Amino acid sequence: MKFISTQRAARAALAALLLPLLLSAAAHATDTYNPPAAQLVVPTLQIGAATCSNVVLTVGGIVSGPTAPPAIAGVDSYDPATLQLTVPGVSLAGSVYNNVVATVRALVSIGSVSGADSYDGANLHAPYVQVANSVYTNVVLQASVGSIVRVAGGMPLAARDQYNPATGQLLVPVVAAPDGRVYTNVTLAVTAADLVSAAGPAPAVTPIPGVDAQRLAEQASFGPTPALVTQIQSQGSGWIDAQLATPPTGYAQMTAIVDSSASYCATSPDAKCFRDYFSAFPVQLQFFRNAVGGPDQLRQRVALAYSQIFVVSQIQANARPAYAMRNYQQLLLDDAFANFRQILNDVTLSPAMGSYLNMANNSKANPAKGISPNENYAREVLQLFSVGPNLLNADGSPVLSQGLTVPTYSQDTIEGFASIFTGWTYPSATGSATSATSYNPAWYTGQMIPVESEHDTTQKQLLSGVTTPPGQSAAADLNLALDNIFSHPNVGPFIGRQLIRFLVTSNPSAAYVSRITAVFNNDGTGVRGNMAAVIKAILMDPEARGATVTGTDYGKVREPVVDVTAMLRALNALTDGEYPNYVTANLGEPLFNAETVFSFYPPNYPLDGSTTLVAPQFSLVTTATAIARLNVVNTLVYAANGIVANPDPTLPGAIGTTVSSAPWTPLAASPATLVAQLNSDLLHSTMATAETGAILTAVQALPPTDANLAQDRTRAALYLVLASPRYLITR
Amino acid sequence: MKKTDLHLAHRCSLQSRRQALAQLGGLGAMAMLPSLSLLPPVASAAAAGSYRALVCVFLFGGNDGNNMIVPTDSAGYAAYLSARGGLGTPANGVLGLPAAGTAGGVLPLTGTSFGLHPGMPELQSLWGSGNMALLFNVGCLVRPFSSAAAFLANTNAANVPTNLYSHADQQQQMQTTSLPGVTTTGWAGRLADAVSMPSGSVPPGVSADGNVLLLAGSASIPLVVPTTGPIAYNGFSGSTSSQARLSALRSLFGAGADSLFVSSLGAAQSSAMGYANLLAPVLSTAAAAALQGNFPNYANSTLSQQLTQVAVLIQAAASGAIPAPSQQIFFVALNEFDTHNDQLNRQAPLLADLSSSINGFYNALTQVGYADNVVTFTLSDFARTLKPASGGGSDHAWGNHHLIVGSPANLKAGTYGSFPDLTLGGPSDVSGEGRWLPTTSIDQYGATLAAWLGASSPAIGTAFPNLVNFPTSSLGFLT
Repeated sequence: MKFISTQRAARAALAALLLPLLLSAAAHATDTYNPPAAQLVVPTLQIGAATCSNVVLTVGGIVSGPTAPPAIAGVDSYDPATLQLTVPGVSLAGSVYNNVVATVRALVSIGSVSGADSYDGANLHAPYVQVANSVYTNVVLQASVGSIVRVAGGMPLAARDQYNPATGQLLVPVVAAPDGRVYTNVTLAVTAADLVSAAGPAPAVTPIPGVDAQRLAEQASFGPTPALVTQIQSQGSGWIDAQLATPPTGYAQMTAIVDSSASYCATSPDAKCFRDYFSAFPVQLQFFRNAVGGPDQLRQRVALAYSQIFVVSQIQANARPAYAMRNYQQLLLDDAFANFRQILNDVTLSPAMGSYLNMANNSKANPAKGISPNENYAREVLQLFSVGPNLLNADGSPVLSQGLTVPTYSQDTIEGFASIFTGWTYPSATGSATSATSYNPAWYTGQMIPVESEHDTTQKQLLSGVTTPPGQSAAADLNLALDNIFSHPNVGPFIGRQLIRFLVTSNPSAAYVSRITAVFNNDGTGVRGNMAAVIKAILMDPEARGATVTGTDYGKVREPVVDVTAMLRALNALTDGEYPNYVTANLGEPLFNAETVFSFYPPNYPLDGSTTLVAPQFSLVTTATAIARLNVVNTLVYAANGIVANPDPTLPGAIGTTVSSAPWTPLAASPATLVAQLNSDLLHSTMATAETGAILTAVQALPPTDANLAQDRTRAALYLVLASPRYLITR
Repeated sequence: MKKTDLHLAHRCSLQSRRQALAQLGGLGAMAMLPSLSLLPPVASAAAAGSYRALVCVFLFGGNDGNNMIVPTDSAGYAAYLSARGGLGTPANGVLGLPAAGTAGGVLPLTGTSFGLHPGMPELQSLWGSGNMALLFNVGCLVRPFSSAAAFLANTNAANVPTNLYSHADQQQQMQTTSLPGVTTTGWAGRLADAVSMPSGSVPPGVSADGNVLLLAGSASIPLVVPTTGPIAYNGFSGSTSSQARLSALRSLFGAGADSLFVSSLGAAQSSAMGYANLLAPVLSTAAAAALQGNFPNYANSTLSQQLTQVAVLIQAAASGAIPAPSQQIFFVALNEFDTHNDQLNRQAPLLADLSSSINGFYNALTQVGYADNVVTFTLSDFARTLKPASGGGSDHAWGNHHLIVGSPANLKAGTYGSFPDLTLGGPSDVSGEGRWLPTTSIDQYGATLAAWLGASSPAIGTAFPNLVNFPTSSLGFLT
């Protein structure tokens, strides 16, 4: 991508990138409704993996909506499991109505389809075929007219092809025929002999029913929503597999700026120039938009964890331009499920990391000037990013020698690695150079490149008694060093336990940690460091799964970022990201602006009032933040007309933050039902009777003469549930 | 090598503390923030004159004390300049500051052969009026060593602090001292455990910079106030239904018999609400406005804002406006001292902020009449290598220099401790890059402060278990 260096063009480019992202809903073609025929014309309808164009159908009834604009992102979608059609926008008699959910009476026609089955006259090509708990992909079957058992038509009965081995019948919900017509609900008689080719099966699916689906949503997303929970209930562990395969929503490309903030902003007409080009603000806002609405929930949760392990902070920046942070956070998203060795490589050679921890332009020792190599990256890559300061057993417990911990590395090892990490510089702006003969100025796209003349080629001390041979190039030394780190037995327990703590529980059992270490060491196919396997193992471990939790020491405090996004998702929020960014910083978690490389909370912060339990996120709970959080809940629940924050006039494309508690308001006629539903939706029914009783009393205290009784009852109950300590704990 | 993972040792008397907090939560059941006259009259334990407070200013990241206090005698300055690679500019990558009396040079401290970083004229002036003491080469130790060589010859891991040069470990040990096993209380928290608290009072430990281990005791939990401004919760009116909702919220704070996480969080939320009510009359923007004029850099300095907040609370506690113990320890902090690169540019504004803020704080205390009741002192993770590192910065080191500021009624202005020999690889250096073996321990530093605060000898012994390993428990800079 060609980068623009003039300011005006850069501003226009930034606005052009922000604007469609924020206003994308307005850009999709709306449906049109024809009342006399009760027909809805849908330009694009998504059913499972199939994208149907020019669909005409008749509508049964309205389930919910319309709501105030803006429309939710995306095209219309139909869920065969619920028979519900979701319509972001429909025009009727000159007005546009947004976010309608309706039932379908009948399908009239489908113009064309892509991404569904197709028949070429001899073979059926099926993207997905589900057989019991397995899903086969790219299936090719021979079929003829004689294979057809029936063509039922109507709205597709399933999201993907279903094969029943007992009956030998294959249900094809949507298929494009050679004549260009689209048929629905075609049943074929198929035997094993008809199979031409198939990929898979995908991993066996373990069901995750009922309340456990909510628990997984709390662990692996930014907060349960009814749609997400339904999806997990229907897909089971297949949801995790699908998430592992979901590409990142990601961050819009940002202008690469070489000027200093002082000179760039001296002539910028953007009154918020520093904020928009040299602070983490644009990246933060996009993070929150993605977290609240993006489909790659698990990837984003893992990237959030990585951003707190492999820390790069904008706060200590000397005004490093914002595109550097954008590129770094995109890297963490892209590599979320990559192999750990790859992550080590990409983080080490990231120019943003090179700037933050001083590996960029770090020189070998200069005896004439009396200067030693910089130790910053060497120390932190070992202490924080990989092995930790003390030797660990596979179960995460420290190795003890005569009752004392044993250090993983000595100062000599630090100095050895410091010398390894010499002779690297920023990429060149053209991006094509693979090495340099002198140091490059700061440039944050691409990977750092070697400057051999600045590289220390002496023998260097690494971990586990390994030394590098002298005379190696910068890249050869680097690869040897990263292999040395990667192969250290500490990495599995050190990184594995941190990820368990970020996703599931602060105090995993020794056995849990051991199981995850084992997966890190070998994913089952002989591969070490397979983070996709590690993440899935963490979430599917028996200590993570199950409908009920009985251990009093189980669980974790939600970090402010996840707490606030969970509330926004529960409240059907639409946001440009500015409000959640502001409040989470006030609650102690200023995203991408950690004060130090040790991130927001000490990993071993003790839980008050227990023996041997840690609760890192608890360190953020203070008098000041506890009260601040009550005020956030108050704002979210009691916002007039659901407007939590107005659009910021200085932010192009801003939509502010709006919420809705509409799904619960109809239940307010029966306070007991309302409270029970909130307990179920938001706390998977973990409130004790005394707690629901207390909320019920408060709801019932509202006078029957209240002009907005239903809304006020809902708000009172919602406030109490969200403000309660139970909401802030994931267990 | 004593530290295992930080696991919480059993905290005694949690239940009694929770009961006390629950009482606090019961204050101010009125929806509107209670006015002063509605608070029950409480005999303040802080009778005029008997109130004393320590204020810890923690410089997170490891302040390069070598450029904060610089020798000004010709031999000392020559050794300093040589080891720092010569006269430093942001471009040449070495770190020496200009000599006293030259442009941008160190600021001489009268009566000594030392000078301050050029960015600290306010502290130079405080020195001139007898308001500052310097403590040289203090750091974490388990027991003393006679020289760097003796330290290097030691083979018993139990004799030395764990994981030297690691931020996390050294920050922690400056707050807990270097004890065996897992330590989950800070030395000031242990002192706080021995301080009696009147009914419904704020705790001895108060932080304006978030939760901090220094102030955590076995029973004592610090109060954390925001950097600026009041603590107030919104959304409740005097109506019956609103009060019913508030009452329900309080009862929800008591939930969680089935989960230690839920119950601990509920207790924290409950005490937060109690403190919000208690502090409502004192922690106001008006109270800060009355004092912030003492801080020229208030708008841009979070340290100045934190110290203003502390001054407001000291005034409230010492005057009896809120119930308070007679001994308190406050915590404020400044970040970004981890100057691995571009040190000359990065450290200068930090030390300027430190100087201006500490001076402003002293003036604010004078304004409210409590300058004689407060001693302010600095701490930091560790010092930094005297020898520069590539990129114009320095790496992690050990023994550091610190400042103590107070009124002449309490402070015996002067230099204390033993200034290191600035020879790289010399008798003070445990490496080849200028990492000083401390000649004074954090235990001795803290014990001197604690004795002035009013802690008894047994309480000091409990707070500083390693103190017995050192020859003196009082360094003499406080009366």
